Parts: sequence; C-alpha cells; structure tokens
Amino acid sequence: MIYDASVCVGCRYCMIACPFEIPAYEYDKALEPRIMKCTLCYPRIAKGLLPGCVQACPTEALTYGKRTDLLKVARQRILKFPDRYVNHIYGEKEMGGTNWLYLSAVPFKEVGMREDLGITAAPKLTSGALSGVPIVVGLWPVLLTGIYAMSKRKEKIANQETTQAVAAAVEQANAAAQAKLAEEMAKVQKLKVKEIENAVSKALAEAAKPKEEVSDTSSAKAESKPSEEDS
Amino acid sequence: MSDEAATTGRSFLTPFNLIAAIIVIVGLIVTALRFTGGLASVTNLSDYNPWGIWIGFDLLVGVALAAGGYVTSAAVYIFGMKKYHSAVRPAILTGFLGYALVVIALNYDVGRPWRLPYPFFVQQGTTSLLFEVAACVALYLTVLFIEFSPAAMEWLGLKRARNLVVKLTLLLTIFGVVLSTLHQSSLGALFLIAPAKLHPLWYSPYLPVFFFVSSIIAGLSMVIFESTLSHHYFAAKMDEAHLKEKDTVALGFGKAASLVLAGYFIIKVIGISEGNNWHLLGTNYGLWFLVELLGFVGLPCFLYAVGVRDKNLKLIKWTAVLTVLGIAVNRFNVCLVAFNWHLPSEERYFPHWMEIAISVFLVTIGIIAYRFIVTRMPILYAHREYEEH
Repeated sequence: MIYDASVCVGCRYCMIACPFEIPAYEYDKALEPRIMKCTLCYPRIAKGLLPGCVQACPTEALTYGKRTDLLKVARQRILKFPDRYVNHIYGEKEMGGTNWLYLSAVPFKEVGMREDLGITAAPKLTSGALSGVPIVVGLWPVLLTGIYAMSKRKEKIANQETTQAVAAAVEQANAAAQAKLAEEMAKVQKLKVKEIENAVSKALAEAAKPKEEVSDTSSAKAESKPSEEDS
Repeated sequence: MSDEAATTGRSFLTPFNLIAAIIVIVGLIVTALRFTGGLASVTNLSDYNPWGIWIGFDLLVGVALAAGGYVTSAAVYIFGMKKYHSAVRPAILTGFLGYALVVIALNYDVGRPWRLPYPFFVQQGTTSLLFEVAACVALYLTVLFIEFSPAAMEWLGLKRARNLVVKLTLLLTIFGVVLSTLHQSSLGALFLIAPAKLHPLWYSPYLPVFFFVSSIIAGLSMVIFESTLSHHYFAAKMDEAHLKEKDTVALGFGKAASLVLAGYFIIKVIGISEGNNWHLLGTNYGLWFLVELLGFVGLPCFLYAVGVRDKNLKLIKWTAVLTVLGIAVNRFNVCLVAFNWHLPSEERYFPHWMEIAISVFLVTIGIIAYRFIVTRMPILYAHREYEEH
C-alpha cells in the first residue's frame, strides 16, 4: 500500500481502522504532518529492486514475491517442516488478507499478534452503513412530506370541524334566542293586553263612581291612553 | 452573567466576563502552541490513540448535543406541533453554534486543516465513512446557517431576504432531518471499522442506529436544559409566548424523551443479544456498561415519566441534565473508554490539560456567541414586525 501525502488531510482515521496499529503519525510537525507506514519500498520495487529489508536480511528470514507465490511457498514449508511451524499462515485470511504474510514456530498470540481479528476486510465493515445513505436520502423526504401532509390535513379538518361546529352552535343559539324572543314578546303582549284591559275596566269602574273624584282619576286615564296607542 | 451587563454593556467587569476572558486568553495561547509545535506539543495523542477528546468530546458530544435543532424544527414544522414554536429558534441557534464549533475543533485536530475541502474538490474517497461525515457536516452547517439567518436578517432589517428564507422553512427542515439522520448515524458508523479495538459491549452493527436514536434524546434534553438556563439568565429577553410555552415545552419534550429513551434502552439490550455478550456484563467493562445503560438510560427514562405524570418541572429539568450527561458518557465510552480496551494501561490515553483547555475554550466561545446573539437578535422573542409569522 502506498500513501499520497499531497492529498492527506491528517484525520488519522486510517490509524483508527488499522487493527495491526501500523500507521504512525508525525505528531511533532505543526504544518505538514504525514502518516508514516511501510510501503514495501515502493520506489525500489518500481526500479525492479527488492525491498530494502529483504535485501539486507543476512538469514533470508524475509522473502519478497507475488502473494499467490508466497502462499504456495508458505504451504510447502509447513508441509515440509511440520515441527518447525505452526499450521497457520498469518495474514492469509486475517482482516480479508494482508500483503505481509507470517510463519511462526510458536502460536502467534505468544508473539503479540492478535488471532481474534476475523476475516472481514475493513471496507466491508462499513459498506453496509454506507449503502444505507441513498436509501435515507430517497425515502426520508417522502416519509417526512407524508407526515407533514397528514398533520396539515388533520389541522385543516380540525379547523373545518371547528368552524362547522361554531356555525351550528351559532345557528342553534340563534334559533333558541329567536324562539325565546318570540315567547317573551308573546308574554309581553299578553301582559300589555291584560294591563290595558285592567286599565280600561278600572277606568270604567271609576267613571261609574261619584263626580267629585273625577279630577283625580282623569290623570290616571291620561296615562293609560298612550300605552293603548302603542300596542 | 448579569442581564444588565449583557444587555447594556455598561460594565464589562462581571465575574462571567472575567472568567471568560481568562479562558479565552489561555485558549489563544494553546492555539498558538498547537499551530507552531504540532499536536505533540499540546496533546497526549499517540500512534495507538490517534483520536482524543477533540474528537470524543468536541465532535461526537458536540454534534449529539446540537441535535435540538433538527428535533425541534421537525416537531414544529413537519409534525405540526405548533405549541412548541417558541422553542425552534433557540434550538436552531444552539445547533448552528454547536456545529460551527465542531468544525472549528476539527481545524485543531486534523493535520492540515486548510485541506478540509479536499475530500470534495480534490479527491473524493466516497468509500470512506469519513467522507459521508464530512459531506454531512458541511451541508448541515450550511442548512443550519440558512435556518438561523432569518433572526439575523430581522435584526439587520433585511425584510425581503428574510421573507424569502422563511418560505423555504419546510424544505430546509426536511433537508435538515435527512442530513442529521445520516450524520448522527455516520458518527457511530465510523467505529464499525474497528471491531478489534472497541469493546464488544459497545461495538455493534447497530452503532449507527444507536447514535441516531440517542441524538434525538440528546436534542430533546438539550432543549429543556437550555431553555432552563435561558430563562434563568435571559428572562428579560423573553416575550410572553416564550414564558408561557416554556413549561409546555418541558412537559412535551420530557414525555417524548422518556419514550425515546425507552426505545433506546430496548435496542441497546437487543445489541447485547445480537452479539451474545451477556457473559461480559460481569466484567469490569460490563459493570461500566451497566452503569451507562441503567444509570444514564433507564433512570432518566423513568424520571422523565414520573416528572411528566406529576407535572414536576424541577424533576424534568434535572433529568434533562442527567440525560445530557449520559449522552456524553456514551460518546466518551465509544470513542475513548471502551476503545483500545485491549491495550495495557500504560498505553491508554488520558487527555493533556491543554486539550481540555481547548475544549473549554471552544465551549466558552459558544456561550459568548449565544449570549451576543440572544441579547441582540429576536431569538427568545418574536420580532414586532413579524409576529404573525
């Protein structure tokens, strides 16, 4: 794996992601910190040379080659020297397979290499969550607009029902008031008629009385007259 | 933080201003150190611990606590709960300031902050979750800025521009909910890539769902918490609608928070089942997990319910504090406490005091900005000319 410092923002998510704790960071650089990591001497490989460590190793503990070839070599070595190696090629399947492959004489755990990493490649661990993005972008607006429309409609219907109820109540109240008014009017009418009748009969009764009292009663008569005209 | 000083500016020598000034000066000094000496000079970060509290607190907690913006605007504009209308503007403002601070904090944390736009303009790493995070932060900060802008435009008297933006309210709200869903969940999804480093009790394929659902809880609780503080310090700035709706908001949001907390509790338990991690509950990490689950999820769920039933506003307010704290505990657990749990203790991370100083500095800047804005712009009251909205 190679690293292009010219586009690196320095977020260090690669360091979070790496289960082998390989990438290192230039924490002491203020302006141009880079991620540091083995690139298998990519510039040397490009020139057709071996990686520096492979070339320098005096006991040939390190071998460089195509991954498929190295896996074959590793399997042959395990078959040939079953006592010398643990039957496991570290890196063949770990985290989806790595480009560093290890053979060991002791269980890998004992030399500080984790055996609980699983065989899923790191990008696959997040690809599921990423595939949810377009679905949310596609469905959320529909769902939310739907909820908006429902709440809007509910509000509209509630408003309609309120206005209807108010109108009905007003109508009912009006009708009741009308009825009551008519009733009261009728009552008043009756009262007035009765009053007039009373007044008339009173006047008649007074008219039938002796003459000296006429001057008193004439005013009462005068009062009762306009009300007669009113009705 | 007396109202008089805040509104009239007669005296700047208030205790709040003094403390704020000291924090800001220390913050500026540490800032200078950071950009001259690199992260090594001010942080305890290492190759084992590439992310510290600037990510754990400033980014993860900051974004979760800024969720009030989308939660409140969705409740009012989409779900039609108009009785909470007065809570929208303060929530949007907090969300906007929160996100702005997150972006500022990122400038401290990343190696070459001027390259933050690179993922969009130079080279797009679309298969990385961090690309989604970056895209959502950038877009949502823009949306929040536009959502907040009417208040500023009313203050500045830009009537036509203001009316234009107000017409976009529904569109912006929907866009905001979409972006928040993606962004809140993607912060959890970031950790999906590290099953070997995050403790199995916290690692779950449901991490994105956990982060999203808990952000709703954080948003609801922050609105209650913040409205309590605002009422304490800026009551003079509140209009009748705010004062009247304050308790309605606390009761309604407390009820909602209780419900969502119950749902969150259940999916957290489903998370344990999914990984079949029951046997880990007896370990030390398991006990800490139970403290988080029972003390910071189950307990507030219950307390909110009791508070709402008894109309006990004091209980609701304190529960909001507990809940906000619980969300912070959760984010710290995922990012720092349960992360790298397999490392020997001498390799574990604990923040340098200067990292804490920068975080406190940024929060202080947020409070100063909030105070500056609510004492000038129509946030806690409706502008006279636009009251009928």
